[in-house]
Amino acid sequence: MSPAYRAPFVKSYGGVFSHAADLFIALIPALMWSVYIFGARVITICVISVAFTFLLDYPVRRWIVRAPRADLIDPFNAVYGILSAFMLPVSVPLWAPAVSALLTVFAKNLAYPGGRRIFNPYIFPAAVMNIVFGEMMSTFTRPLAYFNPFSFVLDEKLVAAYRVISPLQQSADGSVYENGVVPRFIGYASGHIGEVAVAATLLGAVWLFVRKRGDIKATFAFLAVIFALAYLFPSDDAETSYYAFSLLFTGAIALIAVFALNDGYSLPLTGTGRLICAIVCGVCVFLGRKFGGDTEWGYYAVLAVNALSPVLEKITRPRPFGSSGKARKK
Amino acid sequence: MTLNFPGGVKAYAKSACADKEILNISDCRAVCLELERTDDLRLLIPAGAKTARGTPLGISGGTPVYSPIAGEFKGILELDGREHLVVTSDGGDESVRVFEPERRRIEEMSYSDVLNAAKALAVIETRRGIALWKLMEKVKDNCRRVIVDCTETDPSGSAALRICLESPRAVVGGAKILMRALAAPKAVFAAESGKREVFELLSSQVGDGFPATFARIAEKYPCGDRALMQAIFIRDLKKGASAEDDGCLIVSAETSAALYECMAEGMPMLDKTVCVCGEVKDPSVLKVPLGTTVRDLIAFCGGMAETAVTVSNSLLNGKIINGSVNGTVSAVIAVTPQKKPRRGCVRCGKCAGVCPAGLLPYLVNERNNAELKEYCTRCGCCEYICPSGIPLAGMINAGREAET
Repeated sequence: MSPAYRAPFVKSYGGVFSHAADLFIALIPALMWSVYIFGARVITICVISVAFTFLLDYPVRRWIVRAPRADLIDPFNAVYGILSAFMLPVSVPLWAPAVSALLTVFAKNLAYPGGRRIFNPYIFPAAVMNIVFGEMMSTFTRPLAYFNPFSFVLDEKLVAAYRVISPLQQSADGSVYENGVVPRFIGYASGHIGEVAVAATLLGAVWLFVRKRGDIKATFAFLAVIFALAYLFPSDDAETSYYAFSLLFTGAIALIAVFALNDGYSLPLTGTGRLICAIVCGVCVFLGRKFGGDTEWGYYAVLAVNALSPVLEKITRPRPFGSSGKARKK
Repeated sequence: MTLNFPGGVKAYAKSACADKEILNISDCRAVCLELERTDDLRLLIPAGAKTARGTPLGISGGTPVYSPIAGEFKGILELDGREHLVVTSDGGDESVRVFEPERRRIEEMSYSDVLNAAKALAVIETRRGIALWKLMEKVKDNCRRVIVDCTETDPSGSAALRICLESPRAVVGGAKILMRALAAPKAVFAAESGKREVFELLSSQVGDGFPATFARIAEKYPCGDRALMQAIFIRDLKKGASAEDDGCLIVSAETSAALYECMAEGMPMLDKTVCVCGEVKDPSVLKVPLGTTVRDLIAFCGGMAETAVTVSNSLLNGKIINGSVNGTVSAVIAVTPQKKPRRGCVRCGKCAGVCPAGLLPYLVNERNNAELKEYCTRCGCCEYICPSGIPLAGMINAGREAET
């Protein structure tokens, strides 16, 4: 009969591990599809990325961040590792996922007091690597061209033999991707490892929304904004709906919509704030792709809304029930 | 249609005694009556005097205090740091009637008749432990609705359910008396949407021509005054305001039934229906004299697990209760307190989703969190739902206490 006990005397079942497990499960369809499209090298890249994320994160959390003991091993590292690997092409040397993991660990531990992160931990490395290793990150090979999973650096001639231009690069050049939008939706296209698996990513999204791990409104708003803007302002003489769908099914749009825009660490937790982020992100992606030179505007758009999120969370904070308007200003 | 209210958590436990009838228990060894106020207590009999069931012991806060059992009045004793009136049982069952049984029709009763009866019969509003006559005085000029709350304080409890199933006539009768006295145009019977039998039974008792509606409330907890107002009227109570300020008298099903039965029998409210559940051998709904000790209640139910503590009313925001059953205790739940290893916030936002006050509890560590301390209702939902095991409710309370 210890008086130290106090309410609540029961706790809910779901813990941090189950949250991470749900995200991991949501990634499995995309991972499986990527392995089918790009071969076993995808598994090697993902394993290296995940392993390095865990290995580098532990000392940072223990000696630099000085996290509590229970927090030293973060189950989300598995998710971040795979997602950062998803942003790499299959032809990268095997040191690339390790560098990406290093950047992931840097971004995930770069946080405000209270746990809010400044940047998304898997979009940040993708953006940085796109800037620093532009050529390597934009070398895509055709689907079903399988490379040696254990070759540290692939033979340049071999890669060149299978090299193709991704749909996103074609769009950026102003040309039309001839295979249509259905292969892109299914994921039979070239591109970054995980980004091509649009349908599989959306399948994972269903799991997340069923498990209430995401905000379907933000995901839908982001996709709808891009589609609507592309439909209303098509590129030159492109067919409107074709152009709109092309934009939706290329690049990291699906991954951003499902995972990056549901990352509470780096986005506002208020419903309105999240919605504003999704809309701003969608507008930035559209404007970037239409007028910008670089093809990976999705990453920069996410980082931009990440930077805005503390302000958005503050101004969209809901009014407590029973309060007058004045109370909110406190 | 199910009426929802913001926040709250879905039923986290199952009731083990929903099918068990209320057991009348009168053979307790002693009762300890916890008083609302002791500063103005005026004793009417000396310590050591013999009492019967219904003997007035004193007057506190303008409301008489009666002996719930026959025995010997021991005087005022301090238990758990609070003063109690203690009566020990002599095993007898003699009782005295304090009020003439009401024989008039409800339509013939006036406001003052009902007010005086509620006062003399010491009818307590069991959700808040306030004398019913005081609440009646607050709404006497502008009562728009009489709301009978048939919801449980905890999903594992079933006291309200059993009262509604076993005494539907009294529950409806009490509401009719209050409506008549306060000239309220309508009564609302609110219960969890899953209690179909309750709605059927109560509607069969209501009869034609009685302006009553039935509110099927979402099965979420905790469901207090504010939640009821939000669910039924989609209106928010201002901070510090009560439902009475908004013209609504909210009484529990037990209060409504007690008013009817006490007036009909001329006996004061001496018993309390308590659901004893959780980690006890034989979960039961017991009707016991007010002031029965928790030890006796647990003994009636065959004992409890060694690691368990007894909690009053709710596992989410109840308190550990070791003393006696006062007017507000509807459930005594034996539970082994659960602990979750504490981790860092994962910013899942679940705490904000379940907060009935519309707050963002995850901001507890931030400097600009005055709203949390000001508007938190101490429901405990945020701490219950937190996957990281962060003691949010405790941190908010600690911050509030540090300020005061």
